[in-house]
Amino acid sequence: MDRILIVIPVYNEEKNIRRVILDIQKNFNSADIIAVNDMSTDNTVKELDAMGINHLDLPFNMGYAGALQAGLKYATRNGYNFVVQFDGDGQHLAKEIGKLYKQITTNKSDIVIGSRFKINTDYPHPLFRKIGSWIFSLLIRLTCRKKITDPTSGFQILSRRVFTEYSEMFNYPQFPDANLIIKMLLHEYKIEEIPVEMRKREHGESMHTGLIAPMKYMIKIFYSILIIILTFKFNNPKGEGGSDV
Amino acid sequence: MYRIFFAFFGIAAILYIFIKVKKNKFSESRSIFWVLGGIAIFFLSIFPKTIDKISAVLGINHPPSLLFLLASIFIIYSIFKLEEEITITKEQLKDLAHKNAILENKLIKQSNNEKNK
Repeated sequence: MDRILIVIPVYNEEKNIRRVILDIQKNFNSADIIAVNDMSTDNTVKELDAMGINHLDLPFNMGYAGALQAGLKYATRNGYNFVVQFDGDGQHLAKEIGKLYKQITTNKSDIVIGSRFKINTDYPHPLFRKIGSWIFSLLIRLTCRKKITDPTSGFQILSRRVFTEYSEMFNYPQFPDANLIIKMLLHEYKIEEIPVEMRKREHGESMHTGLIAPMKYMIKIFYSILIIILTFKFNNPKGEGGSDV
Repeated sequence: MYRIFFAFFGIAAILYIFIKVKKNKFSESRSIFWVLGGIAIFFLSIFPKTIDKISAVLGINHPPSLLFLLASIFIIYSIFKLEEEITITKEQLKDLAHKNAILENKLIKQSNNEKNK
């Protein structure tokens, strides 16, 4: 029996977390849950304690990636076989975890991404998000010859090989999106995508709001991709590697 | 007169760094760089013609600009070194914080188990 850990990075999610946990307990109860509290200033921890949910408490705010990496380290240390990255804001649906798990075990993949774009869902896409995803998709296709429709999706299942690598990674990216997918594809990890349904967040703000923050985000991701590709080319000058479609 | 002032300034800088190192408020390895800077100030204030000579060799028309160039290189290099240290320290701090959170979690679980026994 595979041991699955659902990692939920949370920051000030007192209004969402209860619903998220109940959803998981109802629709995918064969996995363990670890919430990573990224120094929330509201009642998130109280909610977690009240529900008896196992959680890590970071001593200072580290952002999404820092919290996620803490959960991955926990998974590595406690011998889990798979990790599901799950958002604490209610965007991801627990009934879709089963699909990700089935896909990763039957195809022996390393990463399975839940995509909002593979089929038309009623998930509302802001224009900027759409353009961003399209550009990153194109970049992945150009560099790795692989079609990934939703590179910014945080809803993923990772094999032990992958999350062990992530947890030991120096400079784990601040935004683990298209850049990390390109890195893993270049190193010949098997990445797949399946269509999933997602919900719009009900309370709180996304980390990509406003005008300046998304611009900074785009620049950082582009730069990160550039570094990844240059590092790879430098280490493999003959141009080996790259995954096939 | 200004030569004595700057020579004194160089010595004072070296002494200041030495005292900081002695009191364990500045790391020995990082202080080398700054002591060398102090020695350079001291040396150049006693033998200011050195700058003129080096400028002549390098073909620099205006010798003081060489001084500014050297000072800029010194400052940029030291900022770069600082950034490097910050990157490594931040990453180490993050790892420690992660490990701390995991250990704390383990400890709480253990004490809860003991309470339930």
